[in-house]
Amino acid sequence: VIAFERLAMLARHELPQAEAEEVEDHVLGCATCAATLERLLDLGDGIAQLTRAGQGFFLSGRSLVETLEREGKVTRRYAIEPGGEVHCTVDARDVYTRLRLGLDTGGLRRVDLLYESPSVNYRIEDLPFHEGEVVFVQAAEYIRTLPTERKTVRLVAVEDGNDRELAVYTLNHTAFKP
Amino acid sequence: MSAEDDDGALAARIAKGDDRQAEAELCRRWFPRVRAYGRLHLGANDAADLAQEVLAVLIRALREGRIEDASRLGAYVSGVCRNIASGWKKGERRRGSLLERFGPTWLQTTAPPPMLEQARLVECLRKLSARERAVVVLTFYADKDGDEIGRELDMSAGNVRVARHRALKQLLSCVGGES
Repeated sequence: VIAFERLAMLARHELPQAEAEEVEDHVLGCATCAATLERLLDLGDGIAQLTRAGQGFFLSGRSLVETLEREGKVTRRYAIEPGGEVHCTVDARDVYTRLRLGLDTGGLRRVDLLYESPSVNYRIEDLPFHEGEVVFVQAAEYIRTLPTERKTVRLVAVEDGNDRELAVYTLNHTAFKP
Repeated sequence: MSAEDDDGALAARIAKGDDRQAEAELCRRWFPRVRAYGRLHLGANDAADLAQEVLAVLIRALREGRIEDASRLGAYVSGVCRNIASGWKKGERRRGSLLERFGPTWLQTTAPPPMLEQARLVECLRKLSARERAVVVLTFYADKDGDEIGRELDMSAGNVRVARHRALKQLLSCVGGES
Protein backbone atom coordinates (compact mmCIF):
# COMPACT_ATOMS: atom_id res chain seq x y z
CA VAL A 1 0.00 0.00 0.00
CA ILE A 2 1.35 3.38 -1.00
CA ALA A 3 1.64 6.39 1.35
CA PHE A 4 -1.61 8.30 1.71
CA GLU A 5 0.19 11.59 1.09
CA ARG A 6 1.32 10.46 -2.35
CA LEU A 7 -2.19 9.36 -3.26
CA ALA A 8 -3.54 12.73 -2.12
CA MET A 9 -0.95 14.50 -4.25
CA LEU A 10 -1.77 12.26 -7.21
CA ALA A 11 -5.46 13.09 -6.78
CA ARG A 12 -4.57 16.78 -6.99
CA HIS A 13 -2.21 16.27 -9.97
CA GLU A 14 0.61 17.69 -7.87
CA LEU A 15 3.25 15.03 -8.53
CA PRO A 16 5.91 15.42 -11.23
CA GLN A 17 4.94 13.36 -14.28
CA ALA A 18 7.40 10.51 -13.75
CA GLU A 19 6.40 10.13 -10.12
CA ALA A 20 2.71 10.40 -10.99
CA GLU A 21 3.07 7.56 -13.50
CA GLU A 22 4.87 5.47 -10.92
CA VAL A 23 2.05 5.98 -8.41
CA GLU A 24 -0.58 5.34 -11.10
CA ASP A 25 1.09 2.04 -11.96
CA HIS A 26 1.00 1.12 -8.30
CA VAL A 27 -2.69 2.03 -8.07
CA LEU A 28 -3.46 -0.15 -11.09
CA GLY A 29 -1.99 -3.08 -9.18
CA CYS A 30 -3.39 -2.29 -5.74
CA ALA A 31 -7.11 -2.61 -5.08
CA THR A 32 -6.84 -0.88 -1.67
CA CYS A 33 -4.97 2.09 -3.12
CA ALA A 34 -7.42 2.36 -6.03
CA ALA A 35 -10.34 2.42 -3.60
CA THR A 36 -8.65 5.11 -1.48
CA LEU A 37 -7.90 7.18 -4.58
CA GLU A 38 -11.53 6.98 -5.69
CA ARG A 39 -12.70 7.99 -2.21
CA LEU A 40 -10.31 10.94 -2.25
CA LEU A 41 -11.61 12.04 -5.63
CA ASP A 42 -15.19 11.60 -4.39
CA LEU A 43 -14.35 13.65 -1.35
CA GLY A 44 -12.89 16.47 -3.44
CA ASP A 45 -15.93 16.55 -5.71
CA GLY A 46 -18.24 16.37 -2.71
CA ILE A 47 -16.54 19.28 -0.94
CA ALA A 48 -16.74 21.42 -4.08
CA GLN A 49 -20.40 20.54 -4.64
CA LEU A 50 -21.38 21.25 -1.04
CA THR A 51 -19.58 24.58 -1.04
CA ARG A 52 -21.17 25.56 -4.35
CA ALA A 53 -24.59 24.53 -3.05
CA GLY A 54 -24.25 26.80 -0.01
CA GLN A 55 -23.84 24.02 2.53
CA GLY A 56 -20.38 25.02 3.69
CA PHE A 57 -21.72 25.83 7.21
CA PHE A 58 -18.82 28.06 8.25
CA LEU A 59 -15.97 28.95 5.91
CA SER A 60 -13.25 31.37 6.85
CA GLY A 61 -10.34 33.18 5.29
CA ARG A 62 -10.21 36.21 3.02
CA SER A 63 -9.35 34.41 -0.19
CA LEU A 64 -12.06 31.80 0.21
CA VAL A 65 -14.65 34.42 1.04
CA GLU A 66 -13.53 36.50 -1.95
CA THR A 67 -13.84 33.45 -4.22
CA LEU A 68 -17.38 32.93 -2.98
CA GLU A 69 -18.06 36.65 -3.51
CA ARG A 70 -16.82 36.47 -7.12
CA GLU A 71 -19.10 33.54 -7.80
CA GLY A 72 -22.11 35.37 -6.43
CA LYS A 73 -22.54 33.07 -3.46
CA VAL A 74 -22.26 35.78 -0.82
CA THR A 75 -25.67 37.45 -0.66
CA ARG A 76 -25.56 39.31 2.65
CA ARG A 77 -22.76 41.12 4.47
CA TYR A 78 -22.19 42.44 7.97
CA ALA A 79 -19.17 44.08 9.59
CA ILE A 80 -18.66 44.65 13.31
CA GLU A 81 -15.87 46.24 15.27
CA PRO A 82 -14.87 44.99 18.72
CA GLY A 83 -17.62 45.69 21.26
CA GLY A 84 -20.08 46.50 18.49
CA GLU A 85 -23.35 44.97 17.51
CA VAL A 86 -25.44 44.53 14.42
CA HIS A 87 -29.01 43.64 13.51
CA CYS A 88 -29.07 40.73 11.13
CA THR A 89 -31.42 38.33 9.42
CA VAL A 90 -31.67 36.02 6.44
CA ASP A 91 -34.15 35.36 3.66
CA ALA A 92 -35.03 32.57 1.28
CA ARG A 93 -32.67 33.75 -1.49
CA ASP A 94 -29.54 33.94 0.62
CA VAL A 95 -26.71 31.48 0.04
CA TYR A 96 -23.92 32.64 2.35
CA THR A 97 -23.79 35.52 4.80
CA ARG A 98 -20.43 37.23 5.23
CA LEU A 99 -19.32 38.49 8.60
CA ARG A 100 -16.24 40.64 9.04
CA LEU A 101 -15.01 41.06 12.59
CA GLY A 102 -12.51 43.86 13.11
CA LEU A 103 -9.64 42.72 15.35
CA ASP A 104 -6.16 43.78 16.32
CA THR A 105 -4.39 40.64 15.13
CA GLY A 106 -0.84 41.75 15.96
CA GLY A 107 1.19 39.01 17.62
CA LEU A 108 -1.58 36.42 17.53
CA ARG A 109 -0.81 32.78 16.75
CA ARG A 110 -4.19 31.11 17.08
CA VAL A 111 -7.69 32.55 17.29
CA ASP A 112 -10.80 30.58 18.26
CA LEU A 113 -14.40 31.75 18.01
CA LEU A 114 -16.95 31.12 20.74
CA TYR A 115 -20.54 31.43 19.60
CA GLU A 116 -23.00 31.82 22.43
CA SER A 117 -26.78 32.17 22.30
CA PRO A 118 -29.80 30.88 24.23
CA SER A 119 -30.40 28.24 21.54
CA VAL A 120 -26.92 27.06 20.65
CA ASN A 121 -23.30 27.34 21.75
CA TYR A 122 -20.30 26.15 19.85
CA ARG A 123 -16.62 26.75 19.43
CA ILE A 124 -14.80 27.07 16.13
CA GLU A 125 -11.12 26.38 16.48
CA ASP A 126 -8.16 27.94 14.72
CA LEU A 127 -9.71 30.56 12.45
CA PRO A 128 -7.55 31.96 9.69
CA PHE A 129 -7.08 35.66 10.36
CA HIS A 130 -5.61 38.61 8.50
CA GLU A 131 -4.27 41.99 9.46
CA GLY A 132 -7.07 43.80 11.23
CA GLU A 133 -9.81 41.26 10.67
CA VAL A 134 -11.34 37.84 10.86
CA VAL A 135 -13.68 37.17 7.96
CA PHE A 136 -15.96 34.24 7.37
CA VAL A 137 -19.22 33.16 5.79
CA GLN A 138 -22.01 31.10 7.25
CA ALA A 139 -24.41 29.05 5.20
CA ALA A 140 -27.81 30.72 4.96
CA GLU A 141 -29.35 27.26 5.06
CA TYR A 142 -28.06 26.99 8.61
CA ILE A 143 -28.91 30.58 9.60
CA ARG A 144 -32.51 30.03 8.44
CA THR A 145 -32.91 27.47 11.25
CA LEU A 146 -31.99 29.95 14.00
CA PRO A 147 -34.62 31.67 16.19
CA THR A 148 -34.86 35.37 16.91
CA GLU A 149 -32.32 35.94 19.64
CA ARG A 150 -29.30 37.88 20.77
CA LYS A 151 -26.04 36.10 20.05
CA THR A 152 -22.57 36.77 21.26
CA VAL A 153 -19.46 36.05 19.24
CA ARG A 154 -16.30 36.02 21.30
CA LEU A 155 -12.83 35.83 19.76
CA VAL A 156 -10.14 34.40 21.99
CA ALA A 157 -6.42 33.90 21.60
CA VAL A 158 -5.34 30.41 22.57
CA GLU A 159 -2.05 30.65 24.45
CA ASP A 160 -0.47 27.72 26.26
CA GLY A 161 -3.83 25.96 26.24
CA ASN A 162 -5.67 28.89 27.85
CA ASP A 163 -8.13 31.35 26.33
CA ARG A 164 -7.44 35.07 26.38
CA GLU A 165 -10.43 37.15 25.33
CA LEU A 166 -9.69 39.45 22.42
CA ALA A 167 -13.04 40.98 21.53
CA VAL A 168 -16.79 40.50 21.83
CA TYR A 169 -19.39 41.17 19.13
CA THR A 170 -23.17 41.06 19.37
CA LEU A 171 -25.58 39.85 16.71
CA ASN A 172 -29.24 40.71 17.14
CA HIS A 173 -30.72 38.08 14.88
CA THR A 174 -34.24 38.14 13.51
CA ALA A 175 -35.45 34.68 12.52
CA PHE A 176 -36.23 33.76 8.92
CA LYS A 177 -39.93 34.06 8.08
CA PRO A 178 -40.85 31.75 5.19
CA MET B 1 -12.78 -21.60 -10.29
CA SER B 2 -10.37 -21.40 -7.37
CA ALA B 3 -10.21 -18.07 -5.57
CA GLU B 4 -6.46 -18.51 -5.52
CA ASP B 5 -6.19 -18.22 -9.27
CA ASP B 6 -3.90 -15.27 -9.83
CA ASP B 7 -4.03 -12.90 -12.77
CA GLY B 8 -1.46 -14.96 -14.64
CA ALA B 9 -3.46 -18.16 -14.30
CA LEU B 10 -6.62 -16.37 -15.40
CA ALA B 11 -4.78 -14.86 -18.36
CA ALA B 12 -3.51 -18.32 -19.35
CA ARG B 13 -7.02 -19.77 -19.19
CA ILE B 14 -8.38 -16.96 -21.36
CA ALA B 15 -5.59 -17.46 -23.89
CA LYS B 16 -6.40 -21.17 -24.16
CA GLY B 17 -9.89 -20.65 -25.40
CA ASP B 18 -13.45 -19.76 -24.60
CA ASP B 19 -13.39 -19.26 -20.81
CA ARG B 20 -15.98 -16.62 -19.93
CA GLN B 21 -15.67 -17.34 -16.23
CA ALA B 22 -11.96 -16.49 -16.24
CA GLU B 23 -12.67 -13.34 -18.26
CA ALA B 24 -15.32 -12.22 -15.79
CA GLU B 25 -13.05 -12.86 -12.82
CA LEU B 26 -10.12 -11.01 -14.37
CA CYS B 27 -12.35 -8.06 -15.17
CA ARG B 28 -13.89 -8.09 -11.70
CA ARG B 29 -10.38 -7.73 -10.28
CA TRP B 30 -9.20 -5.03 -12.65
CA PHE B 31 -12.31 -2.94 -13.14
CA PRO B 32 -12.18 -0.86 -9.92
CA ARG B 33 -8.48 -0.12 -10.35
CA VAL B 34 -8.85 1.00 -13.95
CA ARG B 35 -11.96 2.98 -13.01
CA ALA B 36 -9.87 4.83 -10.39
CA TYR B 37 -7.36 5.68 -13.11
CA GLY B 38 -10.19 6.90 -15.32
CA ARG B 39 -11.66 8.92 -12.51
CA LEU B 40 -8.32 10.63 -12.03
CA HIS B 41 -7.82 11.55 -15.68
CA LEU B 42 -11.29 11.82 -17.16
CA GLY B 43 -13.64 12.48 -14.26
CA ALA B 44 -16.50 10.60 -12.70
CA ASN B 45 -18.73 10.49 -15.77
CA ASP B 46 -16.24 8.73 -18.03
CA ALA B 47 -14.36 6.56 -15.52
CA ALA B 48 -16.49 3.43 -15.83
CA ASP B 49 -16.59 3.77 -19.63
CA LEU B 50 -12.81 3.92 -19.72
CA ALA B 51 -12.57 0.83 -17.52
CA GLN B 52 -14.90 -1.06 -19.86
CA GLU B 53 -12.95 0.00 -22.92
CA VAL B 54 -9.56 -0.87 -21.41
CA LEU B 55 -10.72 -4.26 -20.22
CA ALA B 56 -12.31 -5.03 -23.56
CA VAL B 57 -8.93 -4.36 -25.18
CA LEU B 58 -7.21 -6.53 -22.57
CA ILE B 59 -9.58 -9.47 -23.03
CA ARG B 60 -9.21 -9.29 -26.81
CA ALA B 61 -5.42 -9.27 -26.51
CA LEU B 62 -5.50 -12.26 -24.19
CA ARG B 63 -7.90 -14.19 -26.43
CA GLU B 64 -5.66 -13.53 -29.39
CA GLY B 65 -2.59 -14.65 -27.45
CA ARG B 66 -0.88 -11.29 -27.77
CA ILE B 67 0.22 -11.14 -24.11
CA GLU B 68 2.58 -14.06 -23.75
CA ASP B 69 4.26 -13.03 -20.52
CA ALA B 70 1.63 -12.80 -17.78
CA SER B 71 4.01 -10.80 -15.59
CA ARG B 72 3.62 -8.00 -18.15
CA LEU B 73 -0.16 -7.80 -17.63
CA GLY B 74 0.12 -4.74 -15.37
CA ALA B 75 2.37 -2.89 -17.77
CA TYR B 76 0.03 -3.77 -20.65
CA VAL B 77 -3.04 -2.44 -18.81
CA SER B 78 -1.14 0.66 -17.78
CA GLY B 79 -0.17 1.37 -21.39
CA VAL B 80 -3.70 0.82 -22.67
CA CYS B 81 -5.10 3.10 -19.95
CA ARG B 82 -2.74 5.89 -20.94
CA ASN B 83 -3.36 5.51 -24.66
CA ILE B 84 -7.12 5.44 -24.41
CA ALA B 85 -7.35 8.23 -21.82
CA SER B 86 -5.02 10.37 -23.89
CA GLY B 87 -7.11 9.77 -27.00
CA TRP B 88 -10.35 10.55 -25.23
CA LYS B 89 -8.90 13.78 -23.89
CA LYS B 90 -8.20 14.74 -27.50
CA GLY B 91 -11.75 13.85 -28.46
CA GLU B 92 -10.88 10.58 -30.21
CA ARG B 93 -13.57 8.44 -28.72
CA ARG B 94 -14.90 5.38 -30.46
CA ARG B 95 -17.15 3.12 -28.50
CA GLY B 96 -19.33 0.19 -29.30
CA SER B 97 -17.72 -2.54 -31.27
CA LEU B 98 -15.30 -3.81 -28.66
CA LEU B 99 -17.81 -3.56 -25.86
CA GLU B 100 -20.46 -5.32 -27.92
CA ARG B 101 -18.09 -8.21 -28.44
CA PHE B 102 -16.48 -8.40 -25.03
CA GLY B 103 -18.46 -6.35 -22.52
CA PRO B 104 -21.74 -8.08 -21.70
CA THR B 105 -20.11 -11.19 -20.27
CA TRP B 106 -18.51 -9.44 -17.36
CA LEU B 107 -20.18 -6.05 -16.98
CA GLN B 108 -22.58 -7.43 -14.38
CA THR B 109 -19.70 -8.60 -12.22
CA THR B 110 -18.40 -5.11 -11.47
CA ALA B 111 -19.93 -3.21 -8.57
CA PRO B 112 -20.33 0.57 -8.81
CA PRO B 113 -18.22 2.63 -6.40
CA PRO B 114 -19.85 3.38 -3.03
CA MET B 115 -21.72 6.68 -2.97
CA LEU B 116 -20.55 9.45 -0.72
CA GLU B 117 -23.41 10.55 1.50
CA GLN B 118 -23.64 14.35 1.31
CA ALA B 119 -25.32 14.88 4.67
CA ARG B 120 -22.62 12.82 6.32
CA LEU B 121 -19.93 14.84 4.58
CA VAL B 122 -21.46 18.08 5.89
CA GLU B 123 -21.27 16.71 9.43
CA CYS B 124 -17.71 15.54 8.93
CA LEU B 125 -16.60 18.92 7.58
CA ARG B 126 -18.02 20.57 10.68
CA LYS B 127 -15.70 18.48 12.82
CA LEU B 128 -12.59 19.97 11.22
CA SER B 129 -10.96 23.08 12.63
CA ALA B 130 -11.74 26.27 10.73
CA ARG B 131 -8.21 26.29 9.29
CA GLU B 132 -8.36 22.67 8.12
CA ARG B 133 -11.77 23.28 6.58
CA ALA B 134 -10.42 26.36 4.82
CA VAL B 135 -7.51 24.32 3.47
CA VAL B 136 -9.70 21.57 1.98
CA VAL B 137 -12.28 23.99 0.59
CA LEU B 138 -9.60 26.20 -0.93
CA THR B 139 -8.08 23.04 -2.43
CA PHE B 140 -11.16 21.44 -3.91
CA TYR B 141 -13.58 24.31 -4.40
CA ALA B 142 -11.26 27.22 -5.16
CA ASP B 143 -8.71 24.90 -6.82
CA LYS B 144 -5.74 26.55 -5.10
CA ASP B 145 -2.37 24.86 -4.74
CA GLY B 146 -0.30 24.58 -1.58
CA ASP B 147 1.71 27.74 -2.21
CA GLU B 148 -1.39 29.87 -2.81
CA ILE B 149 -3.13 28.48 0.26
CA GLY B 150 0.03 29.00 2.30
CA ARG B 151 0.15 32.67 1.33
CA GLU B 152 -3.53 33.06 2.13
CA LEU B 153 -3.40 31.38 5.51
CA ASP B 154 0.11 32.43 6.50
CA MET B 155 1.40 28.85 6.44
CA SER B 156 4.29 27.20 4.62
CA ALA B 157 3.36 25.03 1.61
CA GLY B 158 4.64 22.03 3.56
CA ASN B 159 2.39 22.81 6.50
CA VAL B 160 -0.53 23.25 4.12
CA ARG B 161 0.11 19.75 2.74
CA VAL B 162 0.35 18.28 6.23
CA ALA B 163 -2.86 20.01 7.30
CA ARG B 164 -4.60 18.88 4.11
CA HIS B 165 -3.51 15.26 4.46
CA ARG B 166 -4.55 15.20 8.10
CA ALA B 167 -7.94 16.72 7.26
CA LEU B 168 -8.50 14.34 4.34
CA LYS B 169 -7.65 11.32 6.49
CA GLN B 170 -10.04 12.54 9.15
CA LEU B 171 -12.76 13.13 6.56
CA LEU B 172 -12.28 9.72 4.94
CA SER B 173 -12.44 8.03 8.28
CA CYS B 174 -15.50 10.08 9.25
CA VAL B 175 -17.45 9.37 6.04
CA GLY B 176 -16.53 5.71 6.28
CA GLY B 177 -13.90 5.39 3.58
CA GLU B 178 -10.45 3.93 3.58
CA SER B 179 -7.43 5.92 4.71
